Amino acid sequence: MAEETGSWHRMIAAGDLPDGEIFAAKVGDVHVALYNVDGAFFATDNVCTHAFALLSDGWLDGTTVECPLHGAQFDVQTGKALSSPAECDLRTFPTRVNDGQVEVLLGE
Amino acid sequence: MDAERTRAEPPDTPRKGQGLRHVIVGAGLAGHRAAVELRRLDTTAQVTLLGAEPGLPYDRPPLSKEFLLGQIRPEALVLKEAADYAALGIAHHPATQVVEIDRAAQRVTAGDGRHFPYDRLLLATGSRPCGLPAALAEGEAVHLLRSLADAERLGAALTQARHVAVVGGGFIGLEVAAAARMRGCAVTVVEAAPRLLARGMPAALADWVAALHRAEGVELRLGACVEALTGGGAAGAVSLGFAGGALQADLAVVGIGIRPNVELAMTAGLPVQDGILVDEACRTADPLIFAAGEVTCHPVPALGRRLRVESWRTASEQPLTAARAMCGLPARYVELPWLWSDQFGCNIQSIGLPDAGVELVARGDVTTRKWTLVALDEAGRPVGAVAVNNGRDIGMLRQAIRAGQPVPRALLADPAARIPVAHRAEAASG
Repeated sequence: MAEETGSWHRMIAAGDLPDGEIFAAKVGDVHVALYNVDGAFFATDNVCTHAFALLSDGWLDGTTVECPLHGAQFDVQTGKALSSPAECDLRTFPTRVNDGQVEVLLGE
Repeated sequence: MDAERTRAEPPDTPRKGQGLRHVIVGAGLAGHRAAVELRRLDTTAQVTLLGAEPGLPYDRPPLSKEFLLGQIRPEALVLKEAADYAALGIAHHPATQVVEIDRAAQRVTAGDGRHFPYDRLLLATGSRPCGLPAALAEGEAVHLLRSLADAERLGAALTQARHVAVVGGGFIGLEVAAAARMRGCAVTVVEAAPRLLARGMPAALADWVAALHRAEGVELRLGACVEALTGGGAAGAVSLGFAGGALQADLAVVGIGIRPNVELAMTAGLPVQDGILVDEACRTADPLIFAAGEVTCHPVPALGRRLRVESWRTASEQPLTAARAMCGLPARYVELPWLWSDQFGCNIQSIGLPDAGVELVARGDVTTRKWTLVALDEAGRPVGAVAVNNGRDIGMLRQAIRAGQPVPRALLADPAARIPVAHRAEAASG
C-alpha cells in the first residue's frame, strides 16, 4: 500500500451503498470505484486496465469485480488482475468511514 | 533463472531442460497461454511451442475492430510474455507447420522434416475460416479474416475501397462491416439466412443488431445466398451474384464461419467429433496427448452436453486447465461458452446457450440500447443469455446458469434485481 499522502475525499454515506454494490466517482482526473463487500469498503481505479470501461458498470461477486465489456476480473482489495484479458493491476486507494461518510484517500 | 543456479540439485530432480518434454502444436492464444502456464507450473520442463504463422503469438479480437480502423499497430497485438520466451525458457518455433503426429514414437514432424519428441503433447491448433467454394469465389479482391496477415491485407485494401461487400451476417462479418462503415465505406452485408446471427443467437438480438447497422448506414441483404463472386485482378472490383440480386463492390470479405483444425488429430487416430474430443481435464484418448482452445469438443457440465466453443475466452482459459493436467495436477475445465462482440461502440455478450431455451425473458426494453435476454429451459432454469451494453448481467447470469436452479420470472424481468446465488460451490461441480 502506498504511503498515506494525499487527501481524503468524501464519496457517499455508508448507508447509501448496499452490500455488493459499486459507487462511481470522479475526483479531478481520477475515476474511483468504491465497493461495499460485506460492509467493508474498498476503492480502486474505476477504469479497466484492458479497454476503456467503468468497473462500476460491472459485476461485484464477493471481492471480485468483473469488467462489463470483456470480463476481466480484479480483486478489489488488492487491485490484482485475476483473469485475462487484463494484464495490469488496478491502483487501490485507502478508505475510511468518517462521520457516517465513506472517504477515499487520493494522491496529490 | 534456473540455468544460473550454482547450488547442486539432488540427482533425481531434473533441472530446467532435463524435465518433461512438453510440445505444443499451435501458437495462437491457446498455445501461448499453455506454454506460459506450463513454465510457471514446472520450472524444469522443456516447453516447445510450434506455430505455423511467422512472428510472435498475437491477440486476434482487435483484427476485426481497432486494427481495421488503423487505431492499433501490429506490435501492440503481441501477447504479453510472448516477447519474453527466451527468458522464460520457452522454445518458440514460428513458421513451423506440424504435419504428422507419430504416437508410437512420441514425436511430431514439421513440414520441413524436423522432428520434435514429446513426453506430453498439446494440440492447440485452433480454427480456420470457411471460404466459399472455389468455384464461387476467386480473385485478389476477395478477403477472409483470421490472421494478422489477412488483416493487414484487408486494412490496406480498405483505405482504397469505397464500397465493401461482406458475405455473412455473423459476428465477424458484422464487425468488419462496422469497421468499414466507420472508415467511410459504403457497406452491404449479404446473408443467406433470413436474419443476422442465425447460428446460436436469439432473433431479438438479430433484429436489434440489424437496426443498429441500418441506422449506421449499412445495407443488409437478408435471405440472399451468394451464387457467384468474382474478384478480378489485383485491384479489381468484385461482382457478387446472390439469390434475388447482384451487386458490384471494390472488395468482398467472406465471413461465413470457421472450422476446427482437427486434421492432425484425425490422421493420428484420435477421436474427433466436430472438434477434438477431450474430457474435463483436456485429455484426448491418448493419455500423453491433450487438446485445448477452439479446436476441442469438451464437456460443459452445467449444460449437460459437449460443445465446441468458438470464442476468445475458450482459447484463453481452457489451456490453463490443460497445462495443469499435463503436469499431473488436478484439473477441470467447467466454464460456460462466453463471447463478446464490439460493433459501432456497442458491446454484445453471450453466455451459455441463448437459443437453447423454450422461453426468453427480457431484462429491460429490447428496443433501447441496454438490455438482457435470458433463455429458460422447461423447468425455468436459465441456460443462456445475451446482453447488449449490459455486461454486468453476464457475470450474474453465469452464476445463475451454473447453479442450475429455476429463477422466478419476475425477478429475472426486473433489470435492477440481483439474482441470489446460494449454492455456487456445489453448482461448480455441475
